Amino acid sequence: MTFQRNERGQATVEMLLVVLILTLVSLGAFEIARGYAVKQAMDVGVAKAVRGLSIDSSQWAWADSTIRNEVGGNVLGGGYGASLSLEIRDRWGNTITPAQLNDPATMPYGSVFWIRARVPFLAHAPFLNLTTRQVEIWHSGVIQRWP
Amino acid sequence: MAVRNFRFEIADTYTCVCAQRRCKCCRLDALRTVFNQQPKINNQQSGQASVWAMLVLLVLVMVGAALLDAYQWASTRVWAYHAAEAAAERGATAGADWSHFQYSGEWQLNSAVARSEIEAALREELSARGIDASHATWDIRVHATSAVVTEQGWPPKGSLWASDWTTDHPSIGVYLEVDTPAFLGGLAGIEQWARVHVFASSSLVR
Repeated sequence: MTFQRNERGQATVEMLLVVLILTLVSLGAFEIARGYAVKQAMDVGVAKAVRGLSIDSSQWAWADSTIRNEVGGNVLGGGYGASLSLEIRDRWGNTITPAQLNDPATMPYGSVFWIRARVPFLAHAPFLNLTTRQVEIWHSGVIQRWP
Repeated sequence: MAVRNFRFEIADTYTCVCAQRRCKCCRLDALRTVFNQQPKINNQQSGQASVWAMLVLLVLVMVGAALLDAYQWASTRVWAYHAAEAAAERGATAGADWSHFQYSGEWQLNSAVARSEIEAALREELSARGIDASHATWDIRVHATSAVVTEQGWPPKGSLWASDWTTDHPSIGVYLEVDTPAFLGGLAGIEQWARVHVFASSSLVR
């Protein structure tokens, strides 16, 4: 029995290996980019909402849709606006309702509030069984309404 | 192609036993004889693919690290602008001197209160982002009255074009520097952190 030492097709095999690794890295980079795009859109949306609510704390509906539109319209898409969850907290971390935020007795001039936006994000990477992570953004604002 | 030419040159210079140059009858034998006599050229190619694979992997790891750094830097920069802006807003709101306004109709800032609130806001924003306070520095300027004030060469790196900061209202300027992890710098052993510089201001106007 003889073994033939043939190098034909070697370049193809090497090319396949490189293309495989390159594809994995590219897909991974795209998924990370998607995560960062969502986070950045949330950051911008929450900051806008906080600024708006600082001036007029009755505009919770506007703030909610602003954040969802920013996240939903992020450059890499994904329709994350619908799965977004929002929360308002006071300076000490207690959850408050939009009505309480707009109540001068609860939140008078100069009161600090926080908005937390959260969205579940799952990166799709081939051959990796990744779990869903929560992308989260916090920003603080201050009530500037003078009753 | 070069190796083949080389072989033919050797064959050409070989004289066959039948005394004919490049005769057809014994050319193969002649070639075999000549090659058996020549010293072997070491043209070893084994391991070539491994070297290429290592190089390609190294480049891919570097590209991946550069991408991560770029994402991280851009994300931190956007957040830092909003954090500095929120801190300036909170400082202006908390520091507004209402008694002076009611007395004179002019706005004025209580510097100590404003500064304290800005620092608290920055610490809270950093904590909410999960950034240790040791990885951030800030420089806060409070101009309490409506006098025209120019800060020469400040903020140092808050904008693309270096400029002075001039105010003619009670104003607050927040210059914030935040470190963000630099994977590429860490891999190359240069610098493990990249610095983000941002500036935001807030004023009281009638």
